[in-house]
Amino acid sequence: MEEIINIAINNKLLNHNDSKVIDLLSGNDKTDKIVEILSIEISKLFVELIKLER
Amino acid sequence: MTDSLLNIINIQDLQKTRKPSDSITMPKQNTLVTVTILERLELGVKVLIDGKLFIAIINENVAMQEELIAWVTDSEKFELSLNLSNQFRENSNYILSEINTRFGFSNSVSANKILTKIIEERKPVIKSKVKLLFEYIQQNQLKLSDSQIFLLINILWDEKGNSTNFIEELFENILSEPFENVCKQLFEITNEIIFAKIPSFIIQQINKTVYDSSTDNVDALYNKKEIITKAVISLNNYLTNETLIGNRDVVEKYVEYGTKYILQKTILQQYNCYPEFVIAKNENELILIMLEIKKYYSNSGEAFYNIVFKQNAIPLELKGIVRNKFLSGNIIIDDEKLDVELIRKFQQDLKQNWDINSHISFNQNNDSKQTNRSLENGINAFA
Repeated sequence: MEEIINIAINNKLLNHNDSKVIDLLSGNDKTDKIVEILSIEISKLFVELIKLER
Repeated sequence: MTDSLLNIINIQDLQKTRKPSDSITMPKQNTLVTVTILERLELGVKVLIDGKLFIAIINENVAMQEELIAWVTDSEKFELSLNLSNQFRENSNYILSEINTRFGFSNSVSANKILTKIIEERKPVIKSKVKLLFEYIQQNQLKLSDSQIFLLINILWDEKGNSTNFIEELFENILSEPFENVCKQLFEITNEIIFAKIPSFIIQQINKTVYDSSTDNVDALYNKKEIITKAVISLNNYLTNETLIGNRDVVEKYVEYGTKYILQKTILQQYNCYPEFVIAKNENELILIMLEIKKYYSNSGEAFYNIVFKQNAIPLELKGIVRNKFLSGNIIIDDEKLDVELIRKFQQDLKQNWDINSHISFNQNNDSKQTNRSLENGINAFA
């Protein structure tokens, strides 16, 4: 994340003194097993349903 | 000595609170009250309602001295709920009208849209925060997407003070575009950049974001942030180290939108919102699927998930809720394209691989139409 924050600062998406924003971005990545399962399984279903449409 | 003097105010008497047995002055059950939270005590919360002190049971945590709207869920125990989402589902017009009247807000469409979002997000309706939100949106003439309103509410409600400086910084830069737009832009750029004259190892990294059902590279469905992070860093190094770059515009755009995607997704995740986009390969074309999963907690602390999957090019949408390992969903689909066997297999996979039971219903491109078919798999965990 540190490298991405530096790229964001260079691209003026972020100011280097935005400490509160940087703190918010530097927090641990929240992951969730149910979110992971649903994202994978429902996306796969959608891909198959779209294939039928086309 | 002082207690015996008639003209000396007895502070203890003034602070005497009304108990549930004092039924004459007690707010009725299943009504709204305007409440100011004064102090957290061992056995409850000292609150002020219509100028009178009460001890109430409030499970939610909110800052002291704030004026807010609460629902009397139990007048005997004098239990108040600051989450109005259940009552809102039953009578939204009444709730909105009461909030506007009690807090002196205009009963406008835009104000009601914001209030609706606050309640749907199960946030307490805190007068100072709502007022600040209205003023901030009005002063900056912001037209916000649902995901931007979601973030604005969550960030503002988390802020201890009532300053908007931090929010202004965020919305001027990282959050200036809705997440959906960022994903659509990234999808368009991906379509271009995979044919650009850039080092092949970077093209390979970007190709990892494209889901191909023949190889079943599921990382493209879930770990895309990690893959895009690597691609953005590689492209940024390439931009820094090379002077003669063909397709510079496309490369710069990927870095810009890839960075926005990573930063926005990181912030959204902090608030239990998991939006994503899927780029899927279908023969010679790429297709885009948008999805959003939000995690909430019920008053009893149980987690549940609201899910929405969309495909803009064709009428296809899935909305559902997952609670206690049970998915209850509805698919909006062109009835002629409906493949029941495919959905049955999806349900079997969910059950066999993840022990998630499901009930899927279908209707025909219209939420209001009656469900015409449904598929059940496993035991209904809601029962």
